[in-house]
Amino acid sequence: MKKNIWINLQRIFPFMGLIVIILIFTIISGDKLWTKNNLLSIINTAIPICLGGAGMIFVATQGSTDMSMGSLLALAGTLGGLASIRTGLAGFITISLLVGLLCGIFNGYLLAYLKVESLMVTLAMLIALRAIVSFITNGQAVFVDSRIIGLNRIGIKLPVFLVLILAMWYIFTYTKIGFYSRCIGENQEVGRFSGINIRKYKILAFTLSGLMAGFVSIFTVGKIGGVSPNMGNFFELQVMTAMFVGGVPVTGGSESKYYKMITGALMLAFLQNGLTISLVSAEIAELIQGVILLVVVFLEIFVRNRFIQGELAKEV
Amino acid sequence: MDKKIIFRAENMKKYFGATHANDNVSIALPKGHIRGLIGENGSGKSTLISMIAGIREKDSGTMYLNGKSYEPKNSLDAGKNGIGTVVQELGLVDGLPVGMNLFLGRTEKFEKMRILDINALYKKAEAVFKEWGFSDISVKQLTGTLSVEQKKVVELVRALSFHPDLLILDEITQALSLNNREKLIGIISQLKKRGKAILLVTHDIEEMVAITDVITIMRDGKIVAERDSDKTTPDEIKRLMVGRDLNGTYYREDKEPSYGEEIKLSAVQLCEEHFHNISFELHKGEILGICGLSDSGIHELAEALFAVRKIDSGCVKLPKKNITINTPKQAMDMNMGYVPKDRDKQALMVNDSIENNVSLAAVELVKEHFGFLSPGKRSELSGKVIERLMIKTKGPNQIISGLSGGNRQKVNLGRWIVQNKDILILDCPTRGVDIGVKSYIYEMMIDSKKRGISIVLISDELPEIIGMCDRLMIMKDGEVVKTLERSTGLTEEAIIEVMI
Repeated sequence: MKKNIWINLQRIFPFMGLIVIILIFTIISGDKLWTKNNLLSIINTAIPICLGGAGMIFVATQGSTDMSMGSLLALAGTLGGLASIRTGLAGFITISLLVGLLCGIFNGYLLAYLKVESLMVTLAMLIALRAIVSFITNGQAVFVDSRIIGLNRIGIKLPVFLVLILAMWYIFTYTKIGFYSRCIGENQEVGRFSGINIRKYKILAFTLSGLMAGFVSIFTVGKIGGVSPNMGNFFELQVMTAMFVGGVPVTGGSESKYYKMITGALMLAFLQNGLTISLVSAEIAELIQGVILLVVVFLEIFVRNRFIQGELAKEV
Repeated sequence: MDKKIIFRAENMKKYFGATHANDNVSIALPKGHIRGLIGENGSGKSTLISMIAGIREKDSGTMYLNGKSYEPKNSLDAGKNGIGTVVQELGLVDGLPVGMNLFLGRTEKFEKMRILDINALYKKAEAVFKEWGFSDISVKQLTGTLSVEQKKVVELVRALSFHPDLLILDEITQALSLNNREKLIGIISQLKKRGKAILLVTHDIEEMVAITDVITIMRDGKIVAERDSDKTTPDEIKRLMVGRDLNGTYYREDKEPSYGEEIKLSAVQLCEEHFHNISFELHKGEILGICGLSDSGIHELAEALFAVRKIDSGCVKLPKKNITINTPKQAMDMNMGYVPKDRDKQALMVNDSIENNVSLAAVELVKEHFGFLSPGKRSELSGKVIERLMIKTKGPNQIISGLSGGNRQKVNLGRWIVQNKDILILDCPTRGVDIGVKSYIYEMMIDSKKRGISIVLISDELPEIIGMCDRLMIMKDGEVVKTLERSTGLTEEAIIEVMI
């Protein structure tokens, strides 16, 4: 019976981490954490991470890595922003999403047909796409159609966010795309022998990841009110951190769960916000973030190795 | 006993959690003695061996080697003490050359000034291979490029290179082709003559009775009986293993071929690197056997039938539907099922649940509107597999790696059986499972045949092919050399003659 406790404990581990973080900052910051404005700010931090994670989780589940998301969202935002000057809001949204989608497909094709490690392909894309952004913007901020700033309202953001996040949850948890992605992460060879078109589902995963980068770019441009060549820097690392801290395995497979990604994103958002409102200086805040993430990862691996692995494999 | 005892183990105990894997096991092996160890999957044979070989630590008990107390720290230590073991799972490093694997962990003697003299090592390795008559393997070759059989030979030679007083072989013969099997039997009798002891584990009871002096039978972690090989019969051994009566023949009882007129699948001039010009027709309710040596192309042919392997020319057709199979997905949609040879690498996600593994083969069956993979339908289907094949498990959420080999194979086969597929391609479906599960799989096949399901059975176990098939194709060097009909006159000898 002991093993069930540990397995269940591991399942709720990310939740416990989230609760601990919230408790700590509730105490340290006094009431500041729970003011309306602060909660809005937390939501604003969490939304892009969740959306990015909702796309990237398909890639991570397959055991691949998408390093290009930050650069991709910058490119999508830039091209969309430039388009908005002539075509307005509709053009902005269309172009941003289209760029995200196409770059995602491109990533997937490279990976599936060249059979190169996803880390290498997307690392190359991270650099190349960022270079294109710098080239287009000439390193300067670019102003965009003023209606885009109007998107940066919680009344618009939140419903759109909820619809997207639920749609991706459904696709990931209950459809063939998610199921096959988990299977590819478990054992690609088994997948092939079971009739999965591996290439197709790899391309699909990167396409979804790219498309979500497109959505994130819309919100990001709306938030800063223009295009900055630095936007989305290290965004992919934030998303990955959220996923892995939440308990999505780095190697992918059936333990990749959507709720883990969301929990991780919330942890990250509360942590960043909590450190800011506790008036910790930016440098120290990053250090603390790093240390806390290390502790979480260590605890998780420790519990898994110490108490769970052997139990799962035991004969019935 | 006048003969000197080489190895003795007394009151060995090993627990895995609450499971009593070895419960007070005692065994004694005299000089010049070949001992068989047999039992169903999960009966504790491998546990006992791993403790003797220093791979697992015992919980309690004592072991003596040549009269002295024996406490191996690891498998290398066991080897140095004079116990050479070939374990069931491959224990070689793929990224190293064969010669390095042979002397892994004991390369000091080839060192000069702490630098490895690789040429001396290769020379010695070559000599060792030659000594045991396996000079066809190059010691400089990368181990990862060897076939499974060649790797087994390397492991065997490594065990022999310790000049062991006790040689332990766990399930080695299954991986070997006939000629290497004979070589191994030669080596075993040679060791016997030199006064060594051999402990042999195999699922092939006939073989065991033929080779060994005494057979020890284990069940549920205990030794239940010991029998002199020349005074026992395979039937008695089976009964002791299972603990109840099994029908002596668990194969089909009819001796005539029987199948419908309708052609379910036809292979037309299939060509690939491993086989050439293979054509055949599979009829309704027919069990078609394909047998041959391990390099004859039978397994590759199985992969090609399910389109997992690309063929150079020719096609696999379903005449009634007028369809050519080009992808595995198409094959599945066209009601074909496939049990590949390597259960844990090709068929099952071992770290995933029974439910997910069952669903993987039946995605279209559990799918509803909007691509919804219904959790209800998924668990219902997995429940059906568990119930129908009597899989010993806590439930559909059980992780595959916690199941015994036989139960894993039941999941592997059962997920196709419950879907009532038209055509089943079974590649070595009874490999590495005990006879309880084996006879169950045969029952399932006979039952499927009665319901008009067509089966292609690829196997290197001749009794199984003879016992189950309506027709059998014998392959050699990638070609079909003979096709035989089911009859009473069909013997293993006749088939072997054609195969080699």
